[in-house]
Amino acid sequence: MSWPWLSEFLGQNWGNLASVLGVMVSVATLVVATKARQAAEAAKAVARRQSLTEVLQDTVRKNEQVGLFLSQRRWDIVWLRAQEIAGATSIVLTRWPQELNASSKDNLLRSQRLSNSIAGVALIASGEAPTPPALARMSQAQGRVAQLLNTELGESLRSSEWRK
Amino acid sequence: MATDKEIKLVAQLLEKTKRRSITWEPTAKDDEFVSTLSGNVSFTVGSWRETDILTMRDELGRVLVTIDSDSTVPVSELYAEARRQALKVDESLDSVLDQLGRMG
Repeated sequence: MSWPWLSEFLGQNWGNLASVLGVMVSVATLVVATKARQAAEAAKAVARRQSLTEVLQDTVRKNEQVGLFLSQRRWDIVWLRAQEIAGATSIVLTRWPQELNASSKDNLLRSQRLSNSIAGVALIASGEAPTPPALARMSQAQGRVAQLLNTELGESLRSSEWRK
Repeated sequence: MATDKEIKLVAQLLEKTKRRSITWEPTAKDDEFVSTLSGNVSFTVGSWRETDILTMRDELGRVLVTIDSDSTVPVSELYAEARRQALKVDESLDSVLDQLGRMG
């Protein structure tokens, strides 16, 4: 392959060569853009999952406080915290629907209803001392909420670790 | 008066409860039980002043439907069935019958 031959070849086929080069550059750009988009989506998913985990951790803590204040008969704080838990589960259900499967949503919905029932009983208890069976029901409901929320927190932590 | 859809809802819930496809559990309130469906809605069934009431709520806790036993009789049957399941009445009866049987 001599220099004159190469020069002549390039002179005759520069258009074709430019087209091939253009296609190659386009494909490379597409691949890079796709990978960048996938990486951005993955990073976004990790951040969303991290936020979900933090909200669940905070909700678990609030439910622990419900248990503590329940044992101290501090009904106003029990009412407040139980309401906050019910509100937090609503936020989780509406903000992270894609991150939650049907079973997780069920667990959160149950937590929401159980916390609401605790708040309802605490409100009455602030005016009239609850009976021992009523106290036992509140305590059982609080324990069940702890179980449900911890299941979801564990699931969220597991998903976060898996994505990393 | 309950609508046709509401009557159908109660009938379906009752059937699924009897088949144990739907699980109920006690809340902190006396004689109130909760269940959920597909993570979209929750149901509570309870007894208040001799009237049994079924309430369906969305994920934000908003009440969508309330049906009482005055408007459709099966709500009382659903309440009884949900209570039976949530308080594990059958399991308790089995245990008691077993103990009585072993007493000779």
